[in-house]
Amino acid sequence: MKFLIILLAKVIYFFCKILNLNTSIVGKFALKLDEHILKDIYLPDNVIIVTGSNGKKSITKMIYDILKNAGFTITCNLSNNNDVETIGTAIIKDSLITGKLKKDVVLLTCNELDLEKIFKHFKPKYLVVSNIYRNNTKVNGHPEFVLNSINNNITHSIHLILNSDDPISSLLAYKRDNITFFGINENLKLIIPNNPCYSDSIYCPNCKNVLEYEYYNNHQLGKYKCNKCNHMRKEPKYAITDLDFAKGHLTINKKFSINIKNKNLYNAYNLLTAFSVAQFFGIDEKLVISTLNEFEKNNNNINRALIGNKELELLPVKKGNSTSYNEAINYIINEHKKCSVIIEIHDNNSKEVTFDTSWLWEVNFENLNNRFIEKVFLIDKYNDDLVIRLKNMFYDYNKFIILENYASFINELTEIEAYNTYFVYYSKELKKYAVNKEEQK
Amino acid sequence: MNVNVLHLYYNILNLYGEYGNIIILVNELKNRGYTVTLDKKTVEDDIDFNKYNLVYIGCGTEKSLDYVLNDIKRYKVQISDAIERNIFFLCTGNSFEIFGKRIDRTDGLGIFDYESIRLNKRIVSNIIYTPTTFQLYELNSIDSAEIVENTYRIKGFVNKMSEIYHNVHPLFKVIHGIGENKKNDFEGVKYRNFYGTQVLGPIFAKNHEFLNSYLQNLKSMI
Repeated sequence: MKFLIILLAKVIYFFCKILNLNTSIVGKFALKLDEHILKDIYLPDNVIIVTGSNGKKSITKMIYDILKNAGFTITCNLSNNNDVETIGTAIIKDSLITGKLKKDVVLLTCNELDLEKIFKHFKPKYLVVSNIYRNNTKVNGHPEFVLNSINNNITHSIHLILNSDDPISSLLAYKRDNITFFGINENLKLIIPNNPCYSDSIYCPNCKNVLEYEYYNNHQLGKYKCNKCNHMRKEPKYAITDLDFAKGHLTINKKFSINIKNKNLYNAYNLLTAFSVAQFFGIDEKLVISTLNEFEKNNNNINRALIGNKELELLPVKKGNSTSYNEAINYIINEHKKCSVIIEIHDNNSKEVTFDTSWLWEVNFENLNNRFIEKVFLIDKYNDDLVIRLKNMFYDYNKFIILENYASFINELTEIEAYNTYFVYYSKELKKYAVNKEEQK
Repeated sequence: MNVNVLHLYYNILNLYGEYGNIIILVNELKNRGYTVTLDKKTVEDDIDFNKYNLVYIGCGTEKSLDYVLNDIKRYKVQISDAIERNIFFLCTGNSFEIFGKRIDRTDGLGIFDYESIRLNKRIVSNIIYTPTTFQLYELNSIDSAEIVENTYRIKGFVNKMSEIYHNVHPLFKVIHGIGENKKNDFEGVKYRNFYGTQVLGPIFAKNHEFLNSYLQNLKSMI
């Protein structure tokens, strides 16, 4: 039966590819016929799963490039979804009909709450958790819910690769060994604006005693300690010991220098995480560094774009993820440049009907009330909630202009003066209007 | 006239941007000519409930709610008195669970006759409700109550992992989406000037009529 299901699934995969259809139906189909099908496939010893609120896909892409350049054969899911069906498709398409997966490594990116479904079929050798933030609350609830879900499903046999700077995700190490930590060993002295909306760094996620911080690098990330249960930042094995966004490089363990193009803290963590995972495979550091440098050079997240003759600095965010919006806002504030800011809230093409716009109350718009920032344009197709959010800010909101769609924004663009313009975006809509500045060169 | 407002457990029950309710409330009171004194208190702070006209508590993680429950128990008598004296309370998200008899096996404040059962999954839904207007504390059961529906609708969403079973005056009747449990079409608690609801939004941001009605009631009491 197993052979037949794999064979049929492979045929469906073949037609999906020819017809340019979403291949996740392959995994869905196979799991429908036999819910244990993934359990019956012989996987290689090296199975890596990357999860977390921010950065999992980028980290997976980086690890993929490193392993590939080092000569490993890899099964990987790098499509749009990170759910059990997509993972099923990735595994089945690379399996022999005998049920054996003849690759050196299975590398998967997985939604945090989908781990439970995956772990029913198989458990990875390595589980990477990049961080746990407030993210897509409709799906994930809240960070402690995500933490509990992961915690309830991991076993002692799994080697955890964790962010030592994050008091929430690092709690997975509690009463466990078999852990490798990565982190930033430096007080970056970034301006962390006071967030009037919320903080997840006040109380210990373990015992709810007040956490003490020596420094913050962002949100809840930093050097923390709980004096009651002793939950504290552990010394990371792989640490960024120097991070210079202005010069565009970071140094790991005082020795290995990597170029960084996308100058945000997440990207630094992503590079560090991929570097850390590579160490488990005994890959020469020079090859790891050259691969990561190449990755940064070819990074598809364009940094600068032209719309008409207007140059924009682009800051990608995740839809509905207040943490990533706040990160973009912090980046702009830390630049200290006279500027205008454009922020995409809801794009034209969104078909989703949701009453959940609560995340707007967790975006720190207040910090855009900065003397360097002249105007803030917000693109939001349903703007009632946003108007109420902005009107109830702690000051006059006249510098904010709400636009219903991209077309009206293009008209406004000519009105923006010639100083810096930042564009905080998540959808592909931007690409219809913008030219990649670097490609144009 | 001055309105004394307390935002209780502001930095621990702080999920889903629910602090927006207090910002909107304070701004709206000021727009209507009141002066407002807003106090923010949290775990281990000393609180004198006699000082306030209105107390707001927002939504938190389940662990945070348990922690808060331990802290708030020392104020049980004061809170109960304040509710009986018609002091306004607004508790959104899961926070009103602590006023009931139990959350699973843990004793709550026991001020109201309801209990919360925690589930092992989250329930997420867009909702449309309508406020109910009847006095349940004169009735034996909400099932036998005659519901007088208001004309306006409450729009919002719920994101919770508990069901509540009670015999207290519900705040809303379900028009669309889910209620407080699978067995009935009600949601929330309304007793004197105590308002408790799982509706998130923030509810005052999405429902101006509800805000207006709340402030009208508040006006008549201060």
